[in-house]
Amino acid sequence: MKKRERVAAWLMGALSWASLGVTLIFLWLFTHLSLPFFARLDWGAFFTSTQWTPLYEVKQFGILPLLTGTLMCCFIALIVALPVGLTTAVFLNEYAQSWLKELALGALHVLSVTPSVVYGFLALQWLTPLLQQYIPSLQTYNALVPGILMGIMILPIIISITREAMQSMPNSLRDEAEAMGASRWQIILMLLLPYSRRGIAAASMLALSRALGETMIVSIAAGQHAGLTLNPLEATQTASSYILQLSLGDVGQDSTEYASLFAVALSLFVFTYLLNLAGHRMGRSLNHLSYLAKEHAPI
Amino acid sequence: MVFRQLGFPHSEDQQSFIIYVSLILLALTACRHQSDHVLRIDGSSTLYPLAEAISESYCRAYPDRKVVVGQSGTGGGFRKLSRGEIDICMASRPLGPGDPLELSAELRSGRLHEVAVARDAVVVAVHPQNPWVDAIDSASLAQIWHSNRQGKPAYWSELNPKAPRVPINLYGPGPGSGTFDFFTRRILGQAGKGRGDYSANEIDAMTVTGIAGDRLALGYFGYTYYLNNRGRVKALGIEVPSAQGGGFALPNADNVDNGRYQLLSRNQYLYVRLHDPSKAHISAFVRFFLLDLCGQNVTNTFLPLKHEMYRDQLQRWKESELKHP
Repeated sequence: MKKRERVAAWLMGALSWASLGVTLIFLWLFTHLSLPFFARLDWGAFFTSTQWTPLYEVKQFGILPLLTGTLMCCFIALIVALPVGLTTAVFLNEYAQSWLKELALGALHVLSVTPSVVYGFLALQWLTPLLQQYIPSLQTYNALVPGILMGIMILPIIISITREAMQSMPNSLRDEAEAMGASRWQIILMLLLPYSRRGIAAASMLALSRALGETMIVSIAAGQHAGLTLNPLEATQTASSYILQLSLGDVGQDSTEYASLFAVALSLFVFTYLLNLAGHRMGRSLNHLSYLAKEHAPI
Repeated sequence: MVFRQLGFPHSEDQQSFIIYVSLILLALTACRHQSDHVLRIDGSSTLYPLAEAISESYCRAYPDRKVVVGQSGTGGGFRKLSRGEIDICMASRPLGPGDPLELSAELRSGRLHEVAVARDAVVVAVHPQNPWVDAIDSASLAQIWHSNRQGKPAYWSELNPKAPRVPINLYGPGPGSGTFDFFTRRILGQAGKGRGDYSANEIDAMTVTGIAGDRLALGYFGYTYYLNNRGRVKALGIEVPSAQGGGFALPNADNVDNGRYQLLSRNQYLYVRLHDPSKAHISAFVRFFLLDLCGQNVTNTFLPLKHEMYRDQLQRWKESELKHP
């Protein structure tokens, strides 16, 4: 029995080291493959140039347009997902009858298993033409609509993690508040939300890193135009969709263009990793939440 | 535990699940062995709809044969052909110096065969309600798309003094596409030249969608996609050289045939390798392809060559088959 336990412990240890190993291998691969890019790079231009056109005659390697494109889409997604997600979680936790809860959770499951390519086509073929009737300056490819759809896509992550945090509030706290004459609304505002704030922060960080890596929606509906713009009505390009565009074309494997794919991947990897780390830190004080955070992490 | 989550509460279900999975894996390995009988075509997305339509009717005529058609751009197709991953490459331009060198050697020695199968025109289009332009000359196109304009938008007022000074939103195929190479070579004098700050998409249909929804759009794509979207975009007339009578010509079969749309029209090719005797069905497919086009059995979604040219191509094909049995 004891020997079996030791073997099991050893095995589990080896497997968790393996996941770390895979991360390190990725990091090494990205770095190694992007070296030809970084070796020839003018670092000043990398961070200050407003153009990203490695595939064209006038080659410009400014990462800014890709970063702003990525962040703009994700920011819009969070603006959509956070209020909706929070109110839904509060509603499910406080008000909903059990049948409604079942129904809503079922709907959330459907959202979370919908392939992102479907969201992409919904954005391009349905929501964009619809919004164009009200916003004439909205281009066919824009950051706004994929941002909104991405927000809907990350809703399940935000709702499920926030709800777990809310459920973890001990009933004794609620009982005491009620005994002191607090209304339900007061309990929500002054007890439930502050109590689950770390969970909410962790949920938004994880949802954000999910959105950062999302590729299909933005490739289909955001256009592939890496211009530096903060106007969500215009076409833009995100880091992930650049990677996809490059891998679809026929770029030679020993070229700077090919290495730029891994340079962008590395930038995205580092950025997402930092965000995940931050989310993890925020959620850590709630023990079971940090466990949850791991379960929902996209990497 | 995993089985519970997947919805298999009983151990019998687990067993049958495992059996199913192994059966599927077995079927997959069986498929690998059959792949010799599959004809693989890849290359230009411009020829894709035509090749897809013909291979469908080919498979109806010969149910035991299988054809897989992909679209990874002309350059990508040539690369796959040189690696032997595919049997036929669809090309929207002739084999050039930028393509794998061994292919040009094979073409000279007669092992690789070039078959012209269709004409194509590149259509320059704007939003259907665009009031400022109906036609455009080559100099203006060059001015808009030139690489020295990168980062500085072109304005509609450059094309029409009466138009407001609002930027032209540009759409077009990405740099992996044969249409991009062709357009930049004809308009700017060198393949691959041109600005990089436009909405690029390897899939022509996405370019059409972009133009159809943007009042400030100007873009270009293959003729097939124009035929399928006539109402959604407005095609611009293209300048006709004074040797051909001057004026402007709209993209249509007549203008391509009589040479008035010459600036942006080109031939489409299949590149076929003739050396592997075990692949007799490749030959059969090419003959079927040409006969089908010759008899005009395909849906009217492309620009055919002149009738005599198909006879000619078929004749040449049969001769080269005799040379390389």
